[in-house]
Amino acid sequence: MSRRRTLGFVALLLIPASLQAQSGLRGSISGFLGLPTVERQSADTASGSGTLVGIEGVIGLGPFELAGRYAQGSVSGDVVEDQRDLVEGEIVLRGRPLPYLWIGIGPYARSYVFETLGTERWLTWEARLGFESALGSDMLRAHLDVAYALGGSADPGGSLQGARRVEGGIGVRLPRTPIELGAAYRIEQADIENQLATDIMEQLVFRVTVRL
Amino acid sequence: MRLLAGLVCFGLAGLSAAPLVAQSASELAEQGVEAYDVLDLDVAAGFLRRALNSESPDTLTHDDRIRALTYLGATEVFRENPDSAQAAFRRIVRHDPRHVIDDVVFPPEVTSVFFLVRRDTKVVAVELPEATRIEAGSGTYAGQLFASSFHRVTVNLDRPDGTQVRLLYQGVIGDSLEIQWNGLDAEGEPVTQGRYLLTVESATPEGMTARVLRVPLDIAVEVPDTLPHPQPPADSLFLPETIEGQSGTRSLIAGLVAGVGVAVLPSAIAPDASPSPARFAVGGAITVAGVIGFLKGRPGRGIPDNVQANAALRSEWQTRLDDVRRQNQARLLEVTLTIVAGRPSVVDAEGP
Repeated sequence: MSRRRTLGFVALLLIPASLQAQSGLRGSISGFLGLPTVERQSADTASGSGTLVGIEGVIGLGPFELAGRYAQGSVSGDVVEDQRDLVEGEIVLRGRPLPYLWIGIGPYARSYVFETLGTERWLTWEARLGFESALGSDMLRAHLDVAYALGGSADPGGSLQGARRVEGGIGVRLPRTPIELGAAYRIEQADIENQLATDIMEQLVFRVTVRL
Repeated sequence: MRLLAGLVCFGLAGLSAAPLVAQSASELAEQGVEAYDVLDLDVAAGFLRRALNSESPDTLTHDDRIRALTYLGATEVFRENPDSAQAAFRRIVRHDPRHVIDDVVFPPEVTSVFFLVRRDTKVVAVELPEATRIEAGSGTYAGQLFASSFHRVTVNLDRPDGTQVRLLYQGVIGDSLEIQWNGLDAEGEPVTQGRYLLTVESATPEGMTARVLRVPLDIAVEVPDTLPHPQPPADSLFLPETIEGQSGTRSLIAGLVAGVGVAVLPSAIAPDASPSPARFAVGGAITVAGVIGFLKGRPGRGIPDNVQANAALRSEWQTRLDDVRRQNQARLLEVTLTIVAGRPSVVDAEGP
């Protein structure tokens, strides 16, 4: 992970964000249920699926936002060795150059707790680009979020060769309430350098969001 | 010697003549009363008439004039000149409708003539405070009317050009009557600043005007400041009530971008994966929602929430405006009048 690339992205985050005048404190909090499917491709391929329950929150002031996410669950595989608990979390500092566009940066961490193989921790620093827009009225909203790892590590395992993620979804606000129901599709791929392994996680996520 | 005596006589005559010319009206009246007391009625009548008609600077006071007229009337009664007696007494009544002759001093033949004259002379006197401050509507400007005898009167507040501002009283008066005015005109509005006339019209039993008494009233008006009207809401505060511009197009583009992105990007982001068809379901839902947003967001389509919000904004402003108007109307009724009464003037239908 290049420090120069990270600093450059932070500058990219701050400069356009300062151009977008948005006033007032705003935020949202969400609870979600994820249905992940995990696939590890190395010498042999292993896969599993499970459930993930988590919480997300966003707080914003002016053109800046701070978003956080935490989830935990378990994944069951075809063989006992693939049985694992899954914990993931992220923090993103966002800037909004346009009302419907945000860019951000922050850490993303994931931990697999295997019953037989111990704990595997992932940490990546990601650049983020998000798009969200109302569809006709405030009742319907769509979002698309792409993450690109600037660098990171896997323990055990060494450094990451690369990681990318995309999530897109739709939300429907219940009439005369601040509550929004949403569904999203999410997929990510991480390549571990020295193990020559590729880790893929695909999720269908169902959210309940309260906008403050 | 004869010449000297003549000069002395001429000088004395000149000295004695000077006081006669300089005799004041009050002295003449006094001499008339003295002549009446010794029943020298012709002399009394002469002195009293000279006193009443005197043009000397020392004119009679009101009380002396009434006294002189009373003695003149009594003198004419005894001289058997009833018309002259009634004329003298009528002048008394017009000067002072409440006057009563002393029946200890004058015999019944005199007092009875006076009371008959007073009964038949329909006049009033008015007493008003010199200067008064009242609040229009709630305050009271009060005056007193005194009548010579029972008759009908009409009391008006008029403008100098004769137009009526307000009828204050119409009816009979016995001995006295209090008139009140609250500072409002016939429409219930405070009068404007200026000169007005309090007009009291006395009527004969036949309904003819006997006498009109006018008292000028100079009225100064103090109006309290009113509150400024609230400014209407700025145009920038109103939300668009119909869909304008490219809202629907933006919705379609957003739906297509996000929908296609969800369907296509997974293959690019995770080239080694075999993404499930769920992405097409989510991407398709987003695209369909974008198309719906496009159809609902056509220009000119009404936005009920915005219409409602704008109506509430206008209503709130209208409520504040009505409130200020109410307060201003109440303030305008808090007009203070300063009323200064002038000297009355009289127009007699029958002449003096």
